[in-house]
Amino acid sequence: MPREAREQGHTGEGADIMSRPMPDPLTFERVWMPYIYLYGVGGLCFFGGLVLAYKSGAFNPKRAEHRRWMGVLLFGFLWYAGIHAAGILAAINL
Amino acid sequence: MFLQSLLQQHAPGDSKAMATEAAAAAASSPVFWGILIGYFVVVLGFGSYFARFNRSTTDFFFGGRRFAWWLITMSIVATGVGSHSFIKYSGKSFEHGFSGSMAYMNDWFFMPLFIFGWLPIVYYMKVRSIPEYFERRFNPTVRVLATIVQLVYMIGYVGIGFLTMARTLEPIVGGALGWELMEIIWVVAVVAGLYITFGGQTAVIFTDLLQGFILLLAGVMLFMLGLDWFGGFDAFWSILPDEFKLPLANFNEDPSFNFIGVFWQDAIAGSIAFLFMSQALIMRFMACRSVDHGRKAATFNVLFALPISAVAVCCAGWIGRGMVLTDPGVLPSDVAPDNVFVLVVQVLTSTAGFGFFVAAVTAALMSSVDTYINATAAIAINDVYRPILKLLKIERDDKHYLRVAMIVSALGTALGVGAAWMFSQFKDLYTAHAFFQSTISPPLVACIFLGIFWRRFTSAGAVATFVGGVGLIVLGRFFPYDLIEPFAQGIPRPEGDAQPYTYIGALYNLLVCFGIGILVSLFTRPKPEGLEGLTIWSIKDARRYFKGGEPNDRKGFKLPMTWEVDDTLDAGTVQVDQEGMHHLAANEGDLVYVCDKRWWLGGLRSAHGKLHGLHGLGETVRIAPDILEAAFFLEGKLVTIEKEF
Repeated sequence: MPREAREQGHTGEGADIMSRPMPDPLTFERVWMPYIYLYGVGGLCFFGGLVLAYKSGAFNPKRAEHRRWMGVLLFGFLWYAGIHAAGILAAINL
Repeated sequence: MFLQSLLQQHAPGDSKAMATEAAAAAASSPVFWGILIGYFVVVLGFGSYFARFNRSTTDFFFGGRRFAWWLITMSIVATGVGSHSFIKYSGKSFEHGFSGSMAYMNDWFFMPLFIFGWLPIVYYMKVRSIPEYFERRFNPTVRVLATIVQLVYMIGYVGIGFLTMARTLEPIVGGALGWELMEIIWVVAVVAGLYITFGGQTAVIFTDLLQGFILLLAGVMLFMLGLDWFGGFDAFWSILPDEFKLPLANFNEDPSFNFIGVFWQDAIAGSIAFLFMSQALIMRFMACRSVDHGRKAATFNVLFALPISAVAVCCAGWIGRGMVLTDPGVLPSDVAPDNVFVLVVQVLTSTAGFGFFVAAVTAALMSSVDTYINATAAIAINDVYRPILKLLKIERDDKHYLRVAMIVSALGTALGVGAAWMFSQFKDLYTAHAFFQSTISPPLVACIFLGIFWRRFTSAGAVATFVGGVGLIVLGRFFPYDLIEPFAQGIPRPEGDAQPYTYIGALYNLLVCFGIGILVSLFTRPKPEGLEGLTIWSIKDARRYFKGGEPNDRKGFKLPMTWEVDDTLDAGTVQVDQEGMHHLAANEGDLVYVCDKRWWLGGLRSAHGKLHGLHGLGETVRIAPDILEAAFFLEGKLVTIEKEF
C-alpha cells in the first residue's frame, strides 16, 4: 500500500509523507532513550519540587489534606510514566 | 461520492484548493449555517445572561472567587486547546505520528511546585496579576517591565487568535458572503468582544464550559468516526508503521522535530510558562472557591483532560495518515499538513457534521481569545490604571473601575484586531509570533520561578534577567551555531536555510535567563523584608494574610441551611447558632463559604464571609446585605455553609 501511494506521484504543497525514511528495525535507543530522558530529567524536576516543598514547609506531612495531595502527585507521575510505557510497548507490538 | 469527485478534480494533490472547495461546498448548506449561527447566538446569549453576575471588579476579573473545580477545569481545557491547536497538531501528527501529541502529555513535572507553592501564594496573597506579584516581591520597576511584556504578549495572542479564526472561516464565509479577511476579523471580534465586555470572567467561564465540551466531544467523535472508517481499531492500528505509533519522537536525529528539543521547549519551558506565567490561568485559579478546588482543577486538567485533548486535536492527523496508507485516492500523500484537519473531517462527516466541527474549531478559537481579552483588561486596570490614579492621588469606587474594565475590554478587542491586521501582513505569522513569544517568555518564567523558590533572588537580578535575558536570546537567534549549538545535545544542523535549533533553543534561553538572574543576585543585596507569603518558604504567612488571623485547621462538616438577611450585621459577616459553629468546627472570625445547595450551579450563587457572633434561630445562616448582593441567592432556596480554614 505505501508503494502504491508513492506511485501516485502527487505534487501538492506538502512534502510527500511516504518519502520519509522509517528506521527499521527500531533500535533500543530510538524506542527507550526518549522515555529514559523524559522520566530521568523530568523526574529530577518532579522529585526536586517535592523535596523543595517539604524543606520549605509548604508540604506539611502532618496535615491529612497535604498527604492526600502528595499521593495524587505520585500517582500522576506513575500514571504518565505508565501511559507512555504502554504506548511504547503497544507500538513495538509487545 | 462528493469527495471522490472533488479529489478527482484536483488530482494530483493540490490540497489547499481541495480544503477550500470542501469548505465552500459545506457553506452552501443551510444546515451548516444553522449550526454555525446557532453557536454564535448561544455564546452571545451566555454573555448577556452572565453580565448580571458582575457587581465588582472582583466579579469581572475573577468571577467572585466562587466557582467549583469542574467548571474551572473545563475552562482551562477550552483555553488550553488554543486557537490553532486542531490545525497545528493534526498537521504535526500527520507528519510525525503519535509523538505529535507530546506537548499535551508532559505537563506533570512541575505540579508539586505549583500545587504546594505557586497556587497557594497567588490565592492566599490575593495576587491579581503577575506584574502585581513582581511589585510585591521586588519593586515597581520590575512591575513596569512585566506589565509591558505581558500586555504586548497578550494583545499579540488576541491578534493571532482573531487572525487564525478568520483564516479558518475565510474559505467558508468568504465564498458564501464575499467577505474579505479583515471583515471576518471584525465580525469575530465584535462577537467575542461583546460577551466579554459585558459578561466578564463569569461569562468566559460558563461559555468555556460549553465550548470545552463541544471541542472535546468533536475531537473524540472524529476519532470514533475515523476508526469506523477503517473498520475498527485493530484495522487502523495494524496499518500504521511502528515508528509512527511511538508516543515519543526520535531522540535527536531529526533537526526539525526531535524529542530533546520538544522536551526542553515544551515539557520544561512550556509547562513552567503555562502553570506559572499565564495571567489567564492565574485568573482561572483565582476564580476557584478555594485553593483545594484550584488544586483539583489543575490536577484533573493535567491527568485526564489533557490526554483527551491530545486525542481530540491530534486524531485527524493519525486518521489522515492511515487514509493515505489505506487508500491514496482518498488523501494524497503530499497533502499539506495544515489542510489535513479540514480534509479528514470532510471525508468522515456529512455537511451537518462539517458544520459541527467548524463550530468546534470556532469554540477552540473563541475560548482562547476571550480569556486573553479578559486577562488583558485585568492587567490594564490593575497594573496601569489603578497605579496611575494612585500616583495622582485620585480615589474612585469599585463601580468606576468596573465601568473602565468594560471599556478596556472593548479597547483590548480593538487592539487585538489591529494586531491581527499587523500579523496578516507577514508571510509566516506563526513563526513571527513564535519568535516573539519565545523571546519574551523565558525572562518572565525565570523571574517568577526564582522569585517564588529562591529567597536570595534580588530586584536587580530580576531587572537583569529581563534586560540581559532578552538581549542574549536575540543574540542566540543571530548566532545559533556559536551560542545554542553547545546545548544542542547532538541535534544536527538543518539542511538549507531553515532556522536551526527551533526547539532546543528553549534550553539556551532558559539557561541565560536563569544564569543572569542568579549571577546578579549573588552580587547584590536581597530585599531585607516584606517577603512574607510571597515565596514558598513563607506559605504559612500567606494563609494568615488571607484569613487575617491564625488559620483553624480543625475538620468540620458542610451544613445545609436556610438563609435570611440581617441588616444589623457588619459587612462581609455571617452568623450561625452554637450548634452550627460546633459542626463547622469553627471559631469566631473564621472564614466560611456559603453556597446555593444545587451543586450543578458550580458556585454561581455563592459568597465568602466571616463568622461573627451567634444567633438562636437553629439551622439558618444570617448574612449581611453585601453578602447577599455578592451571592445572588434565590428566595426559598437552601444553601450550604462550610468553613474554609
